[in-house]
Amino acid sequence: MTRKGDAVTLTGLAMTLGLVVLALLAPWIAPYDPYATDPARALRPPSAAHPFGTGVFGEDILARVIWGARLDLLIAAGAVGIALVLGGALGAGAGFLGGWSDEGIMRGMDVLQAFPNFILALGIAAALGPSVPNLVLAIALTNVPIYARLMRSQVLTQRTAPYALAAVGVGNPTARVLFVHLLPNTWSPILVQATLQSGWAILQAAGLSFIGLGVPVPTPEWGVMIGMGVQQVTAGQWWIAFFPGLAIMAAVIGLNLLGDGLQDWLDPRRK
Amino acid sequence: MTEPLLSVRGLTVEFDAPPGAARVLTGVDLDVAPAEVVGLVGESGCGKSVTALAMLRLLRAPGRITGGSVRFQRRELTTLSEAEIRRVRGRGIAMIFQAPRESLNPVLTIGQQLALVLARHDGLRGRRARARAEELCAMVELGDTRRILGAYPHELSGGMCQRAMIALALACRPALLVADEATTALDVTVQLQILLLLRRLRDSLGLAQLLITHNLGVVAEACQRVAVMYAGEIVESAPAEQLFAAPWHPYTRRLLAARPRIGAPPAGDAIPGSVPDPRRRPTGCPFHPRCYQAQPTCRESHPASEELAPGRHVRCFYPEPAPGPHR
Repeated sequence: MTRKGDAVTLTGLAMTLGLVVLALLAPWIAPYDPYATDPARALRPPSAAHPFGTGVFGEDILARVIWGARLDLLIAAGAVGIALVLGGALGAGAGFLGGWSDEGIMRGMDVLQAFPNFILALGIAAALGPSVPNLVLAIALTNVPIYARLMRSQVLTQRTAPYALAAVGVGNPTARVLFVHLLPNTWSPILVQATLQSGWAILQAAGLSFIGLGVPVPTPEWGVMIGMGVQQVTAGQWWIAFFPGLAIMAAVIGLNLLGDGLQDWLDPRRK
Repeated sequence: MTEPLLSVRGLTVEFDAPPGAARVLTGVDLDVAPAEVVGLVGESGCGKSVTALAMLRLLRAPGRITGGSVRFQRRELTTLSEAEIRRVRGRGIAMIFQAPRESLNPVLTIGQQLALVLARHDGLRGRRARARAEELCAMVELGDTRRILGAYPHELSGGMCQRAMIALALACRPALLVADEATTALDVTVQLQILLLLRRLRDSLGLAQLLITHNLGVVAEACQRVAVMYAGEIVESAPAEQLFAAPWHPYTRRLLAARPRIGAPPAGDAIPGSVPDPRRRPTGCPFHPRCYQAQPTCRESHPASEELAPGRHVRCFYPEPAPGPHR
């Protein structure tokens, strides 16, 4: 890969790490309590005291954007983590066992994928009720087929590789060949996909919260914040919805740039 | 003669090929004595690799063993349980393959791969595993041990990868090494180095070897005994010197004549035709359609393998030079 490509990947890494640092340090760097209201200071435009302005109840937008990073990254990580483990296990099983198990698992995945992603998440979230764990679960379930497919294709190509036969030939039991030899060779595309998917998970979480099916108001979550500010945009108070929107954009772009470049970085042939 | 280390008798393998089954190996007999190097030669598709895979029970569906026995160190391998055959693989019989780089795990360094084998087979870890890994590298004459152990397969040349494969095979201290076209993908000078290495391993460790190859030069260089395969059966086996000096089976003669030689015109038509499709085996002797001296008998009945001189087996009605009257 070129130096330019490296620069782009580094930018993505910097953006992602920046948000992670914000999320980790939220209690110490947020200038106000994200839940504190102050009717006397409601709907103030950005100023030195409130760099991102204040909302309808006088809450500080900057503090809420910082706390929002914590919640949104956590939701994304949780959803992608669950989807990866569940999808990865199903896909590896389908690819390795083949036959009827393969058919059964993959047709199940087809059913999940037959629904538009967001609609499915919406349905699951609506059925479970608005809360953080339910939101994580809804997003995770819609992403399971992606990892199942990816893992299955990886296992299918790797299991017939000469080194896999060589591993069997020196007396390794099946499970050991799968876990010690095949799985480490499948990691890199899965990790890339997970990074890219984290961006989408944030978008989905914000989207569901925006329409009231995700995290309840007034939690400091980017989607909720946009929802709370959207009526004010026409009145000229743009900052309430704008800054959380900016944060979502930064997170999605950062994770996508990082994911694009990760493929090359993870290849041992490039070291 | 000492009792053989490996004794294959009447090994028969079929591949399910609906509507019927294709017989890929027909009654293969093969012996390897302790510390003996045996060559298994023949054209592509005659069943050399299938023989090796079947011995270790590594055949994948639709292939399966339908008859015969494989005795190794007085144990019958064809009826062992899956757990028992796993202990034979690696510890008893180790196998190396044609594509050395692809046979190594691409995401682990050579050192890590050796460590996995040593931990599993000998329970060695840490400094003792490291010492044993360096010893193995020295055994296969991999020069700069520290660099090699830290290297990924793609950073090494083909010859070095094959040495690393041999080191991995030796880590389990096998009694028999099966090398399936192990030198084919390497250039000639490296081929020779690997062959010399294998010979030294035989001398120093008493490592018996079965070298599967279509390269008669390799056989002449490395083997004490040779078995020639055609269409899934052993058509001739003999001590290497005798076989090269006086081949008896017409196929062996043609195979030797087909070798390119400097100064001689290329023998393009040395063996007309190609190895028969296992689903459409000729009647009688499977070689008769390509044999320059086929007689009506060859078309009608299948010759048995006969020992016409000590250690010399041939499967032909009209072997040459005819050793006295023969049925």
